Amino acid sequence: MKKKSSIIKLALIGVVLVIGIVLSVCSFKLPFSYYNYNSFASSIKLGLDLKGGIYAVYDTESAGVDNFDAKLAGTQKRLQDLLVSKGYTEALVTIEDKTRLRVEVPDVDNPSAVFELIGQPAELEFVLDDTDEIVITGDHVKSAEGYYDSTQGAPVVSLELTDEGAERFGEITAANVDKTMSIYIVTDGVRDETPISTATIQEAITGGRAQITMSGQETQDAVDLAAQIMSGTFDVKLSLKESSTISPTLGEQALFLGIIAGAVGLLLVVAFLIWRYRLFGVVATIALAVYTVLMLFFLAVLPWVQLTLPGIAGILLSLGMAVDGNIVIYERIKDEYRDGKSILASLHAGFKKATVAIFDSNITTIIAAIILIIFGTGSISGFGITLLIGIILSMFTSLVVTRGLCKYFTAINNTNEKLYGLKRGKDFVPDELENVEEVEAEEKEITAPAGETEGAQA
Amino acid sequence: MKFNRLFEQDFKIVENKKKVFAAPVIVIVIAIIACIVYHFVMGSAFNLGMDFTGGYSISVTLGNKLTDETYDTYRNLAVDIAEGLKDDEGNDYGIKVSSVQRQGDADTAGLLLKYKSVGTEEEMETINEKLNAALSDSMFFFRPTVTFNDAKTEFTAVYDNYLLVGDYAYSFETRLKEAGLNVSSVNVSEDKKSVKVALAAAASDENVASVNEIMTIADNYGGMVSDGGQTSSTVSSEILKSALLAVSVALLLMLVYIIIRFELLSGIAAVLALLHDIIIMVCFMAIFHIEINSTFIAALITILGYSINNTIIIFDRARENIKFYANKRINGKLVKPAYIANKSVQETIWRSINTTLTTLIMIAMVAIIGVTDIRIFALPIIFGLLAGTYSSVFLAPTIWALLAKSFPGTIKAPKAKRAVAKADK
Repeated sequence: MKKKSSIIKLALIGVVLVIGIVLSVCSFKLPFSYYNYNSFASSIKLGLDLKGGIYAVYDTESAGVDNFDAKLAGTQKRLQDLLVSKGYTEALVTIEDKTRLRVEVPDVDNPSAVFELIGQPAELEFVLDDTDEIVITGDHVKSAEGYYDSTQGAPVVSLELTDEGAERFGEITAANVDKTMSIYIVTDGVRDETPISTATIQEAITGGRAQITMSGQETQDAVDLAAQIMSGTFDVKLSLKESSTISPTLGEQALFLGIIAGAVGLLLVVAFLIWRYRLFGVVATIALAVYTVLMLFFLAVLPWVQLTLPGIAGILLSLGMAVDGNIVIYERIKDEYRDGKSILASLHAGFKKATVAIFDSNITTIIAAIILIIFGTGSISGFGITLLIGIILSMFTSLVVTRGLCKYFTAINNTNEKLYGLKRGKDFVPDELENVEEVEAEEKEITAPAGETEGAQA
Repeated sequence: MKFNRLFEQDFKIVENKKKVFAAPVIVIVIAIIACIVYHFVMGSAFNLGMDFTGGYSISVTLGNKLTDETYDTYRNLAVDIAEGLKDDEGNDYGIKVSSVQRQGDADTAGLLLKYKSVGTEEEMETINEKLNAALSDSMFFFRPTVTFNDAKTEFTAVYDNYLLVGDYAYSFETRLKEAGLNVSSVNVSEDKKSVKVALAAAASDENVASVNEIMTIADNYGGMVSDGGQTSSTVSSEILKSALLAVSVALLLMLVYIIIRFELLSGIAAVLALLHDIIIMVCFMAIFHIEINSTFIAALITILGYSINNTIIIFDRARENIKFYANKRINGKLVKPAYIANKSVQETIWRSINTTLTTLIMIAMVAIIGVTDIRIFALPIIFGLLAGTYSSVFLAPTIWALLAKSFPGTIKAPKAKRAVAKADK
């Protein structure tokens, strides 16, 4: 009975695995619909080194700016942080020729997407319509937020002003009650012809907050405007010089060759495992297939992951640890069997002992991965995420998948030692004694024979 | 089988502690010597890549001429020009192109070359000007697709996107004749995109090979080279600091975890082994003067994760053996830590070998099959893997045994002791 149910379970696992592999690597058109299914593998976002993306170069105005280098570096960092906060951990911001900023964003095909990501830097000007006097500019804005204001029934951009801005805004509004004030967007130094809004000053506005009401527009417009204003508040003024697509740094071939290398490597590892551990090697192979499918799935669905060359190293490491978990288990089982236990008893004892070892060794690496995520910046924390997913999956693979599979396989056959590559020690009890004698010769004084202590250990 | 038996003899790792410690020391000494030599010969002890040093960029806009088919030709040409750039006396500037990317599309399509600085800022200005001129002189041309007929008495040259071939018909004839081809007629097609050349005699193989070069039209206005100027490093000191902080905190927390799950001495031994791995990897980069880029940070962390895993598996065995031998006396004397260390390594040796082999297979494939940059990335990992295995199998257990010998009483097996105490009652 048990044998039969094990065969059924194994067959089920096989079917699920095959479906998983198909979903992982094959993209196809869904039947009876217009949608295409994209495989996990093809949905994984790739970094600049493997896939390229888009770039934009921004010119800056350095004339008359104090401490320009420091401000430019500050802007570089803010841009980088902005991109990371939008999930682009692998984006790069570099300073070119000491005056320009170059932004590179991976895995985006459309160059104008840069503006959606960091906004087309815009300056704001609050202008008195009578005198054309500029009341405040974007420099006086501390933060901007766009949302739908239900009391006004319109999307608004709420601005928090700096102390200087608040003071100036208060003074001028107090002196110009009942006059109109317009808010203009200034792009690349040119003021738009039509203001985004014009309003009558009802009273002095002293609270350090100003609001732009965008009647008749979408909430998204307010959100976009807020982003534009925020990017206009960088320490240095940015104006777009050029933007376009860019190819991978490692060359077009890198990814393709990398995949081939990985596949050949995996095949060799599988061959090695089957050679060393026979049916257990087959179990390890299935477990690795499960690991690979799950890994591809998580890489595809989790945000913050843009696979780069270092990320692949992280995957290789966790794959290595998944293989290691299996090896630790099988070597333990071999040890137990060598000392005289039955196959089933060896399996049980082997798993029990290996679990502790696998648990401890993986937890230490998990600690490292979590610390990398917390303390690392940009690509380092991205690497930490890939590593963390990989190790958790590798633990799951060796402790759950391998264990279950071993149970089912041994339920089908638990008598043929050759099937599992197991071997008794050379007449195991005397062998133990032989070893002890050698030890005695070296340590001179061992009295406790290993045979006795064996009982104490178990 | 002999190999198998090798591991059946008792291990004497701790007894050979001098050799165990000598190996890394030798590597470190070689690395220091290498650093000194490189410092004076090459100007810098380490070969820091553009991620750390920044550098210069130059872009070559080629427009529609840059296609998937022509990319490699243009790329290699640009790299050859940059790397072969010489000063007025004919000495190589020694520029090394660190990356070439395709950027833009349609009219703006072009190549972006990045390279490290090879001189002072003033010198670089001259060098960049020269590079600009050299690239402008030889990057722009129209290359035709040439097809010969079977008898090799006639060939057609088709130009992808050039409509003024007619203007060159006369010069083609002269140039072909100069090259020793017996031209009988040159005919430009109506759409002016292709040229048909008839020969009076069959062309020799040598001639066939040279025709493409002869039919290539120089196009001095077909593109633009523009200096990108200096590029800042992508790994700022801030990123480096945060990476260092992360690794330090990670090491500390791993230490705490190991102390909780094992004991203090195992923790110290494991962390020392990890430091060894970091140092050896850095030494490796120094000795072979391999370019260090941001990917190296990732390689280091990868090896840390791998090596701690290895060490813990062996210490797990030691933990069991400590329990097992806790109250076993050898004629009145407790079993020595060295014995436990040796035995634990021995019992896990097949696992260590097999795991290292499988991981090596994977990464070696990447090194063998991958492109150059990936190879450069894989090398430190391979070396780190070996260093990590060495530290786990030889270094960590030896340090542990020596520490345990010096601080007896730190290693206890409380559970086992209690069990024995109960049994005594």
